[in-house]
Amino acid sequence: MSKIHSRVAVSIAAIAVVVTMSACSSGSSTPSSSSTASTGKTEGTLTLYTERDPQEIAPVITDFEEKTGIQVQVFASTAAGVAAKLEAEEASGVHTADVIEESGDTNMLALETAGNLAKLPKSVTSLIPKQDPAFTRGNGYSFSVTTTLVGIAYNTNLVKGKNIPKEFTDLLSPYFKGKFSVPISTNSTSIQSFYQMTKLSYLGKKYITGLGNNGAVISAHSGDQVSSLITGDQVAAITNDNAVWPQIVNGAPIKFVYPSKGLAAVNAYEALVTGAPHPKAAAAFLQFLTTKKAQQDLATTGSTLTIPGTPLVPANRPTVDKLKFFTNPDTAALLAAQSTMVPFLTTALHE
Amino acid sequence: MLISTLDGPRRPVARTRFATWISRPIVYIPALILIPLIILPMLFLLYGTFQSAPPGQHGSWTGQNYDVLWTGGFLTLVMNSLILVASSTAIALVVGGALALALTRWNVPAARFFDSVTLIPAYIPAFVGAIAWSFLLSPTSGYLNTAFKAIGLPTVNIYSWFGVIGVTSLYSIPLVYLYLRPALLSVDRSLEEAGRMLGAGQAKVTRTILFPLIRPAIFSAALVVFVHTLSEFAVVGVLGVQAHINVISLRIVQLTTSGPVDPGRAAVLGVVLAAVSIFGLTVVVRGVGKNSFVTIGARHNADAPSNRGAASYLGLVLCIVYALVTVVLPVAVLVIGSLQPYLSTTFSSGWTFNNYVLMANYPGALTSIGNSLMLSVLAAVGCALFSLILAYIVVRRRGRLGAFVNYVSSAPLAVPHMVFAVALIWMWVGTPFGLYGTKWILLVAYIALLLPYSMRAAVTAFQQLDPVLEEAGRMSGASRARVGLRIITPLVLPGVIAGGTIVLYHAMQEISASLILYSAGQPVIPVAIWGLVSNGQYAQLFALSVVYVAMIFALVAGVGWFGRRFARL
Repeated sequence: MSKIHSRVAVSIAAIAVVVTMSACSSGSSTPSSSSTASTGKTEGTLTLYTERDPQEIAPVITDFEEKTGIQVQVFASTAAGVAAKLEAEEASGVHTADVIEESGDTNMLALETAGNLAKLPKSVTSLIPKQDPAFTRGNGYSFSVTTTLVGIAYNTNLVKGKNIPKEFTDLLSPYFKGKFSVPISTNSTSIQSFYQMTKLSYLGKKYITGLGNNGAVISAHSGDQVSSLITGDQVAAITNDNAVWPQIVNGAPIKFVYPSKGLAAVNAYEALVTGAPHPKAAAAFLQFLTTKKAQQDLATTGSTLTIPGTPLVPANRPTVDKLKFFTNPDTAALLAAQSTMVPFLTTALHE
Repeated sequence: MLISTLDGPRRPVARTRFATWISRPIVYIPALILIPLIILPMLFLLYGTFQSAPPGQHGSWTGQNYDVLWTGGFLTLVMNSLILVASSTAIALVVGGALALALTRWNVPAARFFDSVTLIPAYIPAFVGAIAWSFLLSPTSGYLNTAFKAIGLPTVNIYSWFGVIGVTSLYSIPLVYLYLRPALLSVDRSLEEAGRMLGAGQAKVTRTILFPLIRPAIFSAALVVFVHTLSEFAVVGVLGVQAHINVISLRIVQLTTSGPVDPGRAAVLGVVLAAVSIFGLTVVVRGVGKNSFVTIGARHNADAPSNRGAASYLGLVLCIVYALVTVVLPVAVLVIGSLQPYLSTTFSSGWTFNNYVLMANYPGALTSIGNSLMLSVLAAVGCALFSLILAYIVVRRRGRLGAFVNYVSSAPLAVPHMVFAVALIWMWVGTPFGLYGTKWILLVAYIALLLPYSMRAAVTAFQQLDPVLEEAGRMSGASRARVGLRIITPLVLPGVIAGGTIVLYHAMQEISASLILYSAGQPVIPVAIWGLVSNGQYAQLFALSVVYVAMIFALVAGVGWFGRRFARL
């Protein structure tokens, strides 16, 4: 056999090995319909669509799997990615997801309106404890276990004494001119929290315009905001607690402030998907999320819990029952306001 | 039909009507595959531009989405985009071209080492690279700015047009290098020697002989970098937002991932970018024209000179400076950051290996690595083989089929990956073929989205190949298949492998489509990257990136070894 023939044969063999190995390890990860009996007798798996970072939900899944023997397969993506995939599947009659985790009331309203969510069964709703209205939608389609709180963070090495911000209005001080950051207007968390600010008499639209005139630096990610705080490029930020506290635990010289007059809460909701192929497993997972064990697991990964009674990490992090929140916005009004909020924020904050 | 040989009797040619007939599917089937691969998703995209609601929700026909082209500061986005892509393309062409010249023509010491090092910036995901540069040139306490202040030099603000253009250019240089290098290697040195013998200096020879011969490669590199930069949003997202810089690609990301999600208007912008790709290709086709750029012929190539002159050491300086700026500095930032509990430029945070431990324990870590490696390698091989056939159609068959293949295969170059991925979901979600819900839909997406990169490299390689070589083989009695396998493939292989290399590292880094298309329980590495970026876990992100860059480096080194073993140049 000539050299070129042998070389080509080796190449083809190598590619064939790769393809064969991959074929052996492949296989649809979509549960087949034959294993999704409505009685749930063979529900050994559960598919979770989530907006969370897989690290955040991993301890909960591990403990759930140990307790019930039900294997959880996770699809983690952006809020829009989760919604797009779910909507495409539901519209085509393909049922893959059992439980969905999505943050933001407007995202949840869109899913409810499209008929993608089923009402929670009584076996789940009976276990949900009474919560602050800031953390509930109150329509029986979902409940929250964690939330993202939008407050103020600052660098403890650079901001001291009377300059330490305590309320949102403190960032209008000349001390902070050009030295603090705010999230970009097209971030759904920032739209909701700024929208809530515009509805408050002591803040309102003039406050946001004032932030822009005081040189607010726009940031695309909360991670960028936090790293800029640590390096000292900025000394303060309006940002979310879930990005700040993990760095505080690691020893970063930053602190998170919860304004006493109130702060914004953007909740992560848990819901049952319409036509879930494993409804009993889904119900079991949703029930597990209300347990102390699941709450502790979420706390260890840095989340803020909406169900009081479980200490957060670190221990000095305040729980939600000690804080005051902005009034939950009317979701339909918020959804309608999004198209006007973005241009307003773009102009006011000089993006 | 009988042919005569120089020293033997006439003998029958093993070419029949059957052979002619059976060779046609080899040409038409690859062209037809482009229909479900690219044309149908693009049609879904176009359909989405005329819908009032996202897919899955009740909507109606509307032209309202097109108002995005004259509202919301669209003209400003266009101007910013043009400034960014034009500047980055020019810088990347100059630096990448100089590197390619130096490492193929100037006999630079340790050329093989620098050949590998030149590509390393391309392995670093754009998000990560931009964050690393923000730690180098952060205005207050960046590593480099601290050093500049200490020696009395002015500081550089990375959050500026300079920062955005500079970092974007850095990560485009390897692309240019990968397109120009095989083209330069294929040029017969005797042509340059002839010019020098006639009294022309080195610079004139390069300008009047060498560059015209590699014009297709230069045009291809310029097109790919221009259009790729048009669709790139990560660097602007990290470094440009603070400087009030927004571009079309970032607007598309904002419309598809957060805030008031508006897939209809995002689809309009995606279609506009696809039109730009096609327009850019038209410019390339006209720029190349019907000229001949044959450099791989029947003559023996002169060997590379063994003596070193001033150019060798100039090239060495260029390579060292490039390596320092684009490789050593950002990779050092990644390594340092990966060993810190939180990212600090003052080394006050202490040191830890915990980030690597956390990455090792990341949910689905091994599965992600296995899936990413497998899908990227298969995408690279698939694109390379597919491009080999399609490029043959474009260059040798020409005509309407060639034009169809050329334009369709380049169309996805600038289409935002997330928008294309949603179109793929809608195409495949209800089909009975079992593609949806498996990891193979990601492979289809990678091939569709990254095919333009390998196509440009393969087309350039074919344009440099003299058809007389194929004719000689046919006249000697070889079948088309034998000519293809024994003559064409080895000669165009360096270019095809270069294209496959580009596909490989792009597939490893591809985030937008991966985030939507991967199946539950079958993650890929970009999912972890996105999760860490969105949660601000930058120290862990740096640890992941160090491992990631090392993996891609090993993979590409393997590809390079493969290429050197099989190339005939």
